[in-house]
Amino acid sequence: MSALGEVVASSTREFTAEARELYGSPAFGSFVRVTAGEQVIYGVVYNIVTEGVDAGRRPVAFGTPWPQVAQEHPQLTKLLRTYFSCLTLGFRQGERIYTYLPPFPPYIHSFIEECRREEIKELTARPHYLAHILKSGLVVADQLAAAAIRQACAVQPDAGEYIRRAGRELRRLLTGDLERLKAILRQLE
Amino acid sequence: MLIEQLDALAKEEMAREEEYKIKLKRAREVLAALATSPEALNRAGESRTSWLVAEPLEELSRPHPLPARPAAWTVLAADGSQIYPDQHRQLFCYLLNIGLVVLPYGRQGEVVLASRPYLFYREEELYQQADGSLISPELIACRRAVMELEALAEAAARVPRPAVALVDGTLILWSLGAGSAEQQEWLQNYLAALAAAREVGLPLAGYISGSRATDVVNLLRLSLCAREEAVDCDRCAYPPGERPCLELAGLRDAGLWKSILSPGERSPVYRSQSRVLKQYGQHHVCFFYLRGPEEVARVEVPAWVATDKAMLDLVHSLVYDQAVRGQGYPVALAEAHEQAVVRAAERECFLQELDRLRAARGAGPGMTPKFARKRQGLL
Repeated sequence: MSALGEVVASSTREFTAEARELYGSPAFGSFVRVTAGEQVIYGVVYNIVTEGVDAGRRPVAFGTPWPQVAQEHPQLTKLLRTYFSCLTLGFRQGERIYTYLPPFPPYIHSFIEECRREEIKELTARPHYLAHILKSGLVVADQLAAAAIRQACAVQPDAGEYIRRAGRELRRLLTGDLERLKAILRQLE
Repeated sequence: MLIEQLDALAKEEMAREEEYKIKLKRAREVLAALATSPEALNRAGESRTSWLVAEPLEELSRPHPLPARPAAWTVLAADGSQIYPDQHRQLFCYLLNIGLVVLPYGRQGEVVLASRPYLFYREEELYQQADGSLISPELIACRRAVMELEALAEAAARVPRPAVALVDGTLILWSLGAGSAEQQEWLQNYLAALAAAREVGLPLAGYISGSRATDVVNLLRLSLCAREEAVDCDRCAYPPGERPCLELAGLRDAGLWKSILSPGERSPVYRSQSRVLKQYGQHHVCFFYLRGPEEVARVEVPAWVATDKAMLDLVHSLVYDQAVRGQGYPVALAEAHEQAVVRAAERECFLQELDRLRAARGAGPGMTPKFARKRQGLL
């Protein structure tokens, strides 16, 4: 499997990667994996940023849409970079997947890959990851939870049943906050 | 107090602008007259003068329209910057950072934005052979110019044609004219690098923004000298205040051509008469003025580009295209500069690393008391 990006910032609860290609980030809410020594660390993409490489240089309007503007100004592909940040969800040590934070975060310059189907299946088999996402403090936490459920559905044998289980978990986690729960459920229809 | 002085300055500038417009109009008349009188043109051209006088290779006053550009092409550009030796920092070395840019247009191709640093610290690189003095900024600039050309010629080998290569500034190493053996050696290295560009069929141009050159205006001024025989400025027959050439004093070529050319058009090509060019041979520098979207730039090319219509048209059309894409200044050159530039913080980082290496082997910090005091005043 080819790398989607390379870790450029790393901490216990999250890591950020530079995408290998401009606009080449995995989708919001998708599951990724990084190998760090003996362990494989799993995360979910919660933020994607494209910006100038040079902090002192802001992109300016050219009046031509992408990708035409990149053909007319080929330097842009080298002067812009896409970064994506991932919330750490769990890790694999040996044969087992653990759905809590790993003892150590990934190394800088490690390669990030798309999670394999079986890994997503195992990682999301029980919806514990939803509690972690909702408590993350991220502004996009609710949207992220919905996006992650949609990604997880795709690899579960019975998608309808999976959504119902995830819904029950959400209801448990969001007791007393009906509006929030409804907003997330609407994103799963 | 300053406000009044600024007011006075603004008034002075206004008055000068008026005078400038009159001079411009007169210059265009003189240009038109000279274009139809080969005799007067010859006489002006044969003047004995210390001024640089343009030698026209094409009809003197006719603008050349923008040629069609190819469907696909590549632009290369190189620029360099340096950290000079600094005895106050005990810095007996110098650094050249060469930026290289390759931009493909109208086709897929590798985009290159890169820079490479080179450190020079050996005795023979740092001291001049003749008197053992520290290498002069002119020689460092010359080494830099050579390395820029070499980077371009090397990159050109991997790039499909048509392609043009740009450097920032003049191709005329005027400071090396009647120099030492070492300067001669560097001049020869520069010419060899030009030859390498010619070898790989890479038309090369020096782009000069904000040019203050007066080669063409000088030609006009000489033609105003009303005497029958060839002009001899060393033995000027006029009293200093009454010289006819003063009528056009203060004008610049770029200003003159800005009042004539429409965007995209170029002036005729001229040969520069700079003394150092006597040694350039096939690379004798010629130039034209190009009306870009913002300014009139001076574009210098070696004679082998100037006399090859296809290459000249390619330089004309692609340099203009670059200036349009770069909103006034060629994109490739702007990016090459970005790659090359050594900013103050980077220079400081370089010096600190050097200090660290010195400290590691027990040597003191590399700075004179003067520098140390300048950096941190006593309070």
